[in-house]
Amino acid sequence: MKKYQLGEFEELVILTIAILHNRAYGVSIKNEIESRLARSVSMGAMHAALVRLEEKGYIKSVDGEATEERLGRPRKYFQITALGKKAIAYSKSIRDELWKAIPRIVLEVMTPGKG
Amino acid sequence: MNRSKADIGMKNRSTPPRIAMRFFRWYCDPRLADHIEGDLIEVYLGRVKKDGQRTADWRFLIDVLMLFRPGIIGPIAVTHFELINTNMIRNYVVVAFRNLVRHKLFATINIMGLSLGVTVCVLITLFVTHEMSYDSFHENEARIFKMRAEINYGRQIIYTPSMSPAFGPYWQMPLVRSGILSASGSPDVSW
Repeated sequence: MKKYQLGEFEELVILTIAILHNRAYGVSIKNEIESRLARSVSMGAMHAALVRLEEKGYIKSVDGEATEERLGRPRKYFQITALGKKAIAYSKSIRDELWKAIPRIVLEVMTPGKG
Repeated sequence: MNRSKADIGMKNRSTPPRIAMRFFRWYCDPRLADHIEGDLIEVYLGRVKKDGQRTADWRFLIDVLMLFRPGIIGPIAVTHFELINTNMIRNYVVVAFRNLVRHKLFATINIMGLSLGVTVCVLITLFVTHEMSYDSFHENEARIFKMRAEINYGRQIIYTPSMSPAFGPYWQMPLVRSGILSASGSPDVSW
């Protein structure tokens, strides 16, 4: 079985890129993660993750326009690659398998009040 | 990067602290610098509107410091000069290997002898450290002594490993704190 290396935070970032589709660039990814997960994301952590993901070939970047709100600095939009899609599908399938393998009694204890 | 365009849009806009920006430019990988700087500025301007300039300045600085990490930091620009000349060392290795192949018998003897020497050396070290570790688990190891005899036969001197139990009472000497007869019957004495 082929192995896809994907860290926990990297997975969050790549999934967010997938959610944002064509509007994924630094700030929008940061805001999306912050609003969805209610946790603060440092610029450093996020850009480091983006660099790693790009090195692994899971995402690719496209140069975007330079706008006034960025004082003339260009945007860089990120897109998920085919390999990246495989990687997130793989990590989801692993999790699904693990969830399926959990005996039902364990989950019943985890949600008190049911049964 | 396009400064002139930036300056037009600036007018009475606040800009991030210059020092932080220069520091970022200095360490950042040039391939990433432009768009990350754009992100930083976009976030910064948003914060200026929301939290005011001072807070935004501080948080900009923190962002810049948090970005100072491997992956973002650019390659160190020493292209014209290498600390280690690998070509030369590779050449040494090649030449050494060719010589070994060419003089097979000599190389074999040489390597065998060397490895034998190193092996013996290591074994001796192991043996000596083991011997030196004798009784070292005692608390006052340095103050434990074993009584043994030096017997002088004129020309020949003999050291006995132990002594008669009859010497036992000697551990009642003033400086001796206590003593025992060890299994071999020789008195061990402690100061």
